[in-house]
Amino acid sequence: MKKTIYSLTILITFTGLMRQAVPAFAQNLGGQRVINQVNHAQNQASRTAARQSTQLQNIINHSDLLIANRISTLNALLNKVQTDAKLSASEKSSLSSQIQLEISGITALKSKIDTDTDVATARIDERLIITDYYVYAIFDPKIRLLIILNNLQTVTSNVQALVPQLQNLINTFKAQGKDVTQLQNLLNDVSTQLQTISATLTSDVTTIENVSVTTQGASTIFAKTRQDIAQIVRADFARIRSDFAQMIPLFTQIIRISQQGASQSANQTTTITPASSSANQ
Amino acid sequence: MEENKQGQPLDNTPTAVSQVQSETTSQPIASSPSISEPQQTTSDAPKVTPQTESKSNMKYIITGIALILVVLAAVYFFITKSAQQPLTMARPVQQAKTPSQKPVTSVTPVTAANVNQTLSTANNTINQAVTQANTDLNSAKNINTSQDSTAGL
Repeated sequence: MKKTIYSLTILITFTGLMRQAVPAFAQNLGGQRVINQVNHAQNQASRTAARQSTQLQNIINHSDLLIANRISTLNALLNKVQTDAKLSASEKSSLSSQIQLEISGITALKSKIDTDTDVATARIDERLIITDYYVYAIFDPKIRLLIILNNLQTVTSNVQALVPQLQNLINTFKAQGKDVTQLQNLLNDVSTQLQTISATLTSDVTTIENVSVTTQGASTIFAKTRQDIAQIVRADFARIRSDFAQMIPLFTQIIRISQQGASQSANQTTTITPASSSANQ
Repeated sequence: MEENKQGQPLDNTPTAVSQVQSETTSQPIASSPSISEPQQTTSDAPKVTPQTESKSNMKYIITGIALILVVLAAVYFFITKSAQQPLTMARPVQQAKTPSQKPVTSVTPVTAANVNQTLSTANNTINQAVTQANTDLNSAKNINTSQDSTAGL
């Protein structure tokens, strides 16, 4: 390349001198052809430079667009986390900090791409927008699944807190001589379902939290977690709801019986009282 | 009578002198007075000895009684002080019971009166969570992952 440029420079200089000094001589020797060739080479070089400049600008513009889309997606995700009603403060803080880290990293990459001066470096940096973050393939589904899992964990622990209280009430009725067999079986089933749900959710949260841009087969992990959630939502929680629905009339029946028993005993005491008082008289 | 009168002093004098002398040996300052003075001392000496003995006995008794009173007072003081200690300890125990009662009242246990309402609320809560989870699951499933394709870059 250097040799070519050097030769061309010598040729141009020589031709210029020839044209000025002895134009007739130069024309006679076919110098015009050389001049044309040099002009062509000059034009080609300038066109290449212009094309590369345009290409670089296109890469920068495309990169800016990719980054803008990703930042917009991440901001929407951040807003979803912060406005979620069921997430705890620590869960919000953890998820928000992950998103903020992603945004700041991508913003720094944008600054670098905007100042890139050659096409090759810009192309490498443009590729990093995808491979360093995988916002759509990994990060967005990861955060969304964590939100779902955390929310389901909250509901599960709330319902779990209800189980011992229901057990206490059943024990009270049992102590009063009521038949609580059905209620006890239903509560046992609720408890079993909750334990299964809790174990699955805990395992899935750990698995999802460990997913990163370098994880192989992240899409398979996400699909498995979605299946777990669907199972929890459509089967396990549905069964708990069914158990609760069956418990309500059973509790109603037992409470009614105990209230009738209480009123009867009250009536008996009122009828006995005058009799005993008359007997005393 | 004179002889008797004279004899009595004669008889008494030597004894008085001898007593005085015996006293002067222990107390030299008392040997200078005249003869009439020893006569007085002869009459006082036998009267003083029982009084001082009784006085010294009384002192011992009074001192003993005072000591007994002091000991009794000390015993009473310690008994009353030790009897007050359980009373002072009983107060914090009562104070410790009162705060433990507050959390019990703050918890709303499931009773026969509210069990159906509680179960209905729990059912609704689960239903809402399930609906929300289904929506979020669909949105997570529909993410366009092709935007992260490196083809053409």
